[in-house]
Amino acid sequence: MRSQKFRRVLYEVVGIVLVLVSIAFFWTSVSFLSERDYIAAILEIFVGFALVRAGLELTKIALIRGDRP
Amino acid sequence: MSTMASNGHRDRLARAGVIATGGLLWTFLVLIPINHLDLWPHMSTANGIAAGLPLGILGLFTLWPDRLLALTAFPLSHLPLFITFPELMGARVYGAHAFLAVTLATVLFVIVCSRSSRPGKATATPPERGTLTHARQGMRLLWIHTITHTAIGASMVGALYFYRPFRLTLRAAYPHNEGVALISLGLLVFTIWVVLMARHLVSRLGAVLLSPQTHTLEWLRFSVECNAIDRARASLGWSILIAALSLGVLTVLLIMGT
Repeated sequence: MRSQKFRRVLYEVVGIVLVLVSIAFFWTSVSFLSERDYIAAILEIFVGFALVRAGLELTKIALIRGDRP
Repeated sequence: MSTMASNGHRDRLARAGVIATGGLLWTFLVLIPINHLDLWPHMSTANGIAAGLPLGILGLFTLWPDRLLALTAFPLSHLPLFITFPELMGARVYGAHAFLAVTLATVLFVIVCSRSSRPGKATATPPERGTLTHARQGMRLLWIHTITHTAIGASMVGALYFYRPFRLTLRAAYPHNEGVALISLGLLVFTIWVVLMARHLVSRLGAVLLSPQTHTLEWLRFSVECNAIDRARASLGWSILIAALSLGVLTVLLIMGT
């Protein structure tokens, strides 16, 4: 029971951290745009999107596991 | 009963939307112009309080979610700062692109406000204890993610307007149409932010949290995937293969480079 609660909190924290880290990738994409490196900028945006999605999926798992046996 | 409960959930989602769009509007109206005009050194404590007043109204909205409060007190709370620093509304701040961005944020804010309900309006019967606990725990997470998503929007817009190397490159690339290029990129960033909010936050996390049916369906899908050992092994195998290939390519490139 305790480990389940720990796992839930871990999922929540990692999910939020992933979304926060994505901010750095979105910012870096703008800096790549300023260097006219458009491919790198687009890739950074995709990485940002992927991180946001991963973070929200982890949070979702924390939610749906949290109140089930 | 489930329809009434889902109405209550929709209200909570609309409230989160009001906070997010209100925060974005405050960023456009207060934070960006103050940075743009470099007014921070000239601001006293009273001015700082005036600048934070709209955020205080948004905080009050979380306690007393009345759409009239959001639609009247929130815009009016900007006035003390604008009276003290009229240059915040001046021509140095509002070109065509900034004006369009503020207009879009305002329209979005009004639309979201109109979907939130008045206080004391009984939209749902008391839910079961388990559902209530689940909703309370989940709402905390939804708030945190709403704040982080607002931070994503603000940082992207901030990077466009205040990251000096980017502005210099834009000026060099489009010497006569810098404003048009900036407004196009601003719209692109705004679209990306809306997609993030709608596709990820609202349709994924929000739907699971606020709709009991979606919550149950997601749980079933998750438990089926957890029990599919063969599929998990296959995924693990593919992951190891891709990792080994990447490592191999990287090693070859490093050896060739040296």
